[in-house]
This record gives sequence, structure tokens and C-alpha cells, in this order.
Amino acid sequence: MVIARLQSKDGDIFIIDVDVAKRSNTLKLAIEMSKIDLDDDVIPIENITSNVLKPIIDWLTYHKDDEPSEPIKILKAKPYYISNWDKEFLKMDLKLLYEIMNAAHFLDIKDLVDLGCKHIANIIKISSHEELTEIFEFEATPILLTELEQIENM
Amino acid sequence: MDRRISMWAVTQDVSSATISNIKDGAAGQKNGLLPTATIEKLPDKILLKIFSYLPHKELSRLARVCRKWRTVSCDSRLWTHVSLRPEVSGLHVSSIESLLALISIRFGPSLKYIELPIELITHTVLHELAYKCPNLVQMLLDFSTAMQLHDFSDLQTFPTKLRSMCICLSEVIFMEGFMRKIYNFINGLEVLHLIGTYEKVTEEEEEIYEVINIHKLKSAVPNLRVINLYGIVFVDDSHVEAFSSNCQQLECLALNYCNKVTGSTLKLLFQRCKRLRCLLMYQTVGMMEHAGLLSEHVTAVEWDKTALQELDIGGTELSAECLLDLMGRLPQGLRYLACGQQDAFSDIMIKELLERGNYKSLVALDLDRNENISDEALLAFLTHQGPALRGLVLSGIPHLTEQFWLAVLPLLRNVKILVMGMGDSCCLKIHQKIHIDSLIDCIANCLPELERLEIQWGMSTLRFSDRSSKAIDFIRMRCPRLQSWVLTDGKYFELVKSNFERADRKTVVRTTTNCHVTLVYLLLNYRDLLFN
Repeated sequence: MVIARLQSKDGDIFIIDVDVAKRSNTLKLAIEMSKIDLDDDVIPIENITSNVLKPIIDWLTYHKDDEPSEPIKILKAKPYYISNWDKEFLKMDLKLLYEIMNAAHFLDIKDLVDLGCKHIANIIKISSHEELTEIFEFEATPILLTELEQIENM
Repeated sequence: MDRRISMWAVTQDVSSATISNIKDGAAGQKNGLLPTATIEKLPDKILLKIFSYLPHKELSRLARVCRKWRTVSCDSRLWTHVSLRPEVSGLHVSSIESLLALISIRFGPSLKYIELPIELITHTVLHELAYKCPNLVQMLLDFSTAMQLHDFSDLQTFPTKLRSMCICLSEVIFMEGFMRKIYNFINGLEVLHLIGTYEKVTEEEEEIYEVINIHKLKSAVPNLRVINLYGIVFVDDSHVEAFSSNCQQLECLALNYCNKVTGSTLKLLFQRCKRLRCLLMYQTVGMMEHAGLLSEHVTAVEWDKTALQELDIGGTELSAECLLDLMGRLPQGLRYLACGQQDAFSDIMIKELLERGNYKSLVALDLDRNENISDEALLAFLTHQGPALRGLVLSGIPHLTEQFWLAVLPLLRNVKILVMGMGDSCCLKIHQKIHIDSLIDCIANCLPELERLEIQWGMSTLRFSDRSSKAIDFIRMRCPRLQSWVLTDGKYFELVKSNFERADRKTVVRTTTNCHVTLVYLLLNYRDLLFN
């Protein structure tokens, strides 16, 4: 097994299978394009802290044998499915999930971003307006009705 | 060895660091280690993706939550495919005015597909779509519930880039007033669906109206590749002839449930449309005074000279001579053969296929309810072609029981779609009991690619036990692509359903009352043939 060393923002070093790392397109590019010597060099990931990087690596490791999914076109909503392992994985504070999604977005791990999106879409679906404001901690900004909304509200 | 040790060390370090972070929240926050993100800080791109998982109804609600969500929910990329038919979970638009507003504010140039119900098909709406949505390529117009057509005398323009159009016809409304206005705009159409009212037809004699003039329509659409005439009561051979005279590009013609078609113009069709590779005539069977597909017309076609790859003649009443002749002359490239519900289909047809060797491209075979085939003949055939098959339907044949399937399943390693068994309601009773567990075990072991499975045996035939859960667990794990499993309603169905539900795969298991598995997913033009 060829390994890669990833260094988080807080300086912790994570040692992972290079094939796992390459499921992140950003890391794949970094490993293949630059002259990183996998035996000696660490790959610094300066904008991601350990508490975010750790679950991402767990997720990548668990899903290392998945086939890459087809690109999802933005279409009308269709049914989707979250596996049990992923369900467990998603049992975390929403704030941490946002961090992970941001990081996964940066690392270009499409499937992980998608998973977070599905999860949040699910929460949105089952929540009322008041619950939404609470769950997602919006500041209550009153919205002026535009002409279109008035039409829609009719 | 060293490496493994260091990996452990690091992992442990990190997890203890994380734990201390979680415990020591305040300190963590100071170091910027604790997450401080909110949903509002997610990039718009991600928010857009979240919204893309939500139906349009939901988006209209979210637009009122906050300003940013409003902007994102209006993003035209979320509005490329829009259904405005609430009965098929589309968006409900209450008035023409609000639709016009939506067209200009939301849809605009990004709109590619739209479904309109009768109330919203007016000349102003079509004008707006023509002007504001230059990328509209696919459109469904649902006239099926119409009592009266809007006035289209002012209709001067219509979307011109349509590639695919679906018109749901009503039984009584003549479309010509509308069609006359759009003929000039639809020359680019490649895919045309005309959906009839077959399902609504009652036994009573009712007058049949030719609500759309196909002889005129065909002149406007010379570029059609796919024609789907579904359950239209008035469509007959002259209409097939009409299309064949003007559509040189035709690849796929579906005439399912068109009872007036006898096949008298099929020969001409194949002579004219050299590219025709798919002909579907499921249930073009005689009804009342109509004869249905006639053997003599089928025999007249020069099958061996065609480029045909896919043929469905299921549920038609062809004679044994005709079927035998057809099997002998099927073109070499045939990959899809649906020939179910044919009382005359027997072992000699299978032998003919085997002798001629024209089955070698076959990937999908449907012999539903052909009770006169023996298990030996099928076994002989599947020994040759089984490994190449991706879809197989052998339901409704009483003597194909456990023993047959246990012998055959190992030959079917590439099958994605499989239908077996025989429902209780069929007149012939099955005397042998089916032990479902060993069958399921065998399927799980032999068919790793399986995506769709239907087992029709009912509760009086199926035997299952406490060990059944184990077999169900096994198939769930071994066939990860299984997305649809149809069973007869009963205790076994409940068992399987709850098993899949516990594993959070809620949509997989269904009953034969609402759902049937077919091979159509294997058709080359499957995507073009989708409507509704």
C-alpha cells in the first residue's frame, strides 16, 4: 500500500492510503501534478482543521471501493437513498457538517458534498417555516413581497 | 510494520485531540478549532445543490425564508425541467398570469422541458415560451381531460427548437384547430408521442373520433426518429403507412395497445424505413370488431432483410405457422424479443431459433405466459444464450418451478432484469410448492448484476420459514443494485418489505398490484420512449 501524509491546519498528520486520498480530486491533482515524494513529504492542507479532516478521511476510507457516481444533472427532484453507514456518519452537529461540506467542496469530493446536500434537503423537507429559521439559525429578516410573490401568494 | 505503528499513533493522537476539543469547547473556539460555520456561509454552489434535491413546490416555500435562499431558489438552473401538472406531483400554478410571470422571471433561457395541463395551454403561454425560452427542446401538452379546446386562432408562434413532443389526446376534442397552427414550427421534431385514451375505454360501444389528423401531421415532421402511438383507438394501418411515407429516419415505432392495427402496411414500412430497428406492438390484439395483428401480414414482412434489433409482439394472436416462420427469419442482429402471451408458441419455435442460429445477439427475451413451452426446450436454449442475456421474463408458466430455476439461474450471470413465477389468480393451479429461500439464495449467488426482480407466486404456493430473513439479508447484500423487487401481496411480501425498510431501502419492495417488471429498460430508445 502506498501511503500519503496529510497535514491538517493544526499540524496533525494523517497517514492514509494514497488511493483513498485520490478520491479527492484536489488531492489527486496535487499528488499527480506536483513532485510530491510520497515517502518523505507531507501534503499540507492549510485550511482544514483536524476535527473536520478526520471524519472526511473516515468517510473516504469507508467508501474507497465505491464506483464514482454519474454526474448529477440539476433536474427535477428525484428519490434518493442514504445508506445506513452514511446515516450514522451524518449524526453530527449541523455546524460540523457545514464545515465538512465546505472542506469536501474544497477537496473536490463530489459524493461527500452530495451526501451532505441530500441530508440537508431531507431536513428542509420535513421542517416548517419556523423550524427552518430555528434549525438553520437565520436572522429573521423580513422579506418584502415582490410583485411575483404577490402573484404566487394569490 | 513501522508504518502501521506510526499510523496508529497518529490516529490515536488525533482522536484524543478531537475529544479534548469537544470537551473543552471554549478553549477550542479561541483556537478556531470548533466549527463556527452556518448554513449561510456555505457557498451558493452547495446551496444550489441542496435545492436541486427538492421539488419545485418546496422551492416556492423556501423562497420566503430569507433573501439568500430566495435568490438561490430562483436560480434558473433549478428550473430546467418543470412539470405544471399537480396530479403527477408537478407545481400547481393557479392562473395564466402567474405562469406568464414564472416564464419570464424563473424559466427564461434555461428551460428545456415543460409539461402543461390543458388549462395552461393558451396562445399567450405558447407565445411567451416561444419568445423567452429559446432552449426549450421538449414539451408535453396534456389535453386528456379537455372538454373544450382554447381558441388558438391568434396563435402566431410556437417554440421552434422542439426535439421531442408528447401530446396526450382526449377522446372527444378535435385537435386540428391547434395542430394547423403549429405544423410550421415542429419540423425539427425527432421524437413524437401521441398518447391515446386506451385505459379509459369501456366495454360499451362508443363512437371513436379521429381527434388528430395523422395524414396531415406526418407532412410536418419529416425528421422523426421515434414515434410512439400509445393506446390510440383510431390508429390503423393507414396511419403507419402515412408515417412511413415521410419519415426516412425512423428508428423506433411503438404501436402498443393500438387495436385497429392489423399489420397490413408493415411490409411497406420496412421497405421504406431502412433504419427501423425497433418495432413494439404489444397488445395490438383484436377487440370488438377489430381484428388485431394478423398472421398473414406478419408473414408478408421480409424480416431477414430488415435492420430490426428489437421486436415486441407480446399479447397478439399469431398462428403457430406465423410464429415458426417468424422465428426462422428473424434478422441476425435481433437483441430484444418479446413474444409473450402467445398460446401457439411452443418448443418447435425454440428449436427453430436454435437451428437457425439467429438468436446470438439476443440480450432480452420475454416469453411470459407461453404455457406450451417445456422446461427442457428452455434449458437447452438458455444453455446456449443464458450467459449473454441481460433480461429474462418467464412468468406465468406453471411447470417452471424451483427445480427449473435452480438449474437455470447459474447460466444467467449477467441478468439485470428477471421475472418468474405464476400468480394465484391464474386459472391453472400449481401443485408443487415453491421453497422461496433456496431460490433467493441461488439468485443472490448467481446474479450479482440484478437490478429488477419480480416473483409472481402467491401465498398458496410459496413456502417460507424462520430462516427466510437470512436469505433476504443475503440477497440484499449480494445484489446491491437491486432497485425494484415486486412480489405478490401477502406475508412473504411483508417480510421482505420490512427487511428492506430496516436497511433503509424503502422504495425497493412493491406488490404486483401496483407494479410490474418489464424489459423495456433494455431498449436502445428507452429514454426517448419515456413519457409522463
